[in-house]
Amino acid sequence: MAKRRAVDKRRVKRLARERMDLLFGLAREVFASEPELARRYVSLARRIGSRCNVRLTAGDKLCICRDCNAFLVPGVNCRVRTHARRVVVSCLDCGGVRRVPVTRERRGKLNKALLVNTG
Amino acid sequence: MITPKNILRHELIGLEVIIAGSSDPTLTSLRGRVVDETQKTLKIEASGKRKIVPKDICTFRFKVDSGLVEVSGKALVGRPQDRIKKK
Repeated sequence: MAKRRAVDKRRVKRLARERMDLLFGLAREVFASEPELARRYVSLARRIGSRCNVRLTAGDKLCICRDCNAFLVPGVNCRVRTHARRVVVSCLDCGGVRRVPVTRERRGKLNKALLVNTG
Repeated sequence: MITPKNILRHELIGLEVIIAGSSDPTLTSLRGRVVDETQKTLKIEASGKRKIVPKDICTFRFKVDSGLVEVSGKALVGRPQDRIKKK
């Protein structure tokens, strides 16, 4: 009986992760034509993650606004700066700010995450 | 991977869909892409127009990698974040 529960949990989490990735991809696609829809996809992805106890990756977190769920695209609706050894992403819609400290280990990951959106 | 097995729990947004049948004749053979989902409806974009379609009166045919999957709308009723957990 215990084995069945564990398998189900894993399956649900895998499914959740897949759905969230799908939604992020869709958000990226529709952002150009309809940013509000992208926002809806982001909030849905977050809800799925919280429901199924699946975390967003560090890369995901950089492109969403924690306060208003906007899908953040550098240069369009957010401002990306460095300040005091941190990367600071500010949402231009609502003013929400996310700060990520840059450590040596993190540097590669952050670069990759930020490039995905601008490219 | 969306399979006929997990379609009930998977993300419907982004899928191409045809309404195979419905008790509302204006909805049958509507063909388009799912853009949004609520507890009881799907929002489908078809030829430039967005249509809000109730789930429980339609049967849908979704296009997935492996082919077409026909699903009764009644089985899809539920909020998208609830559907993923055992429905």
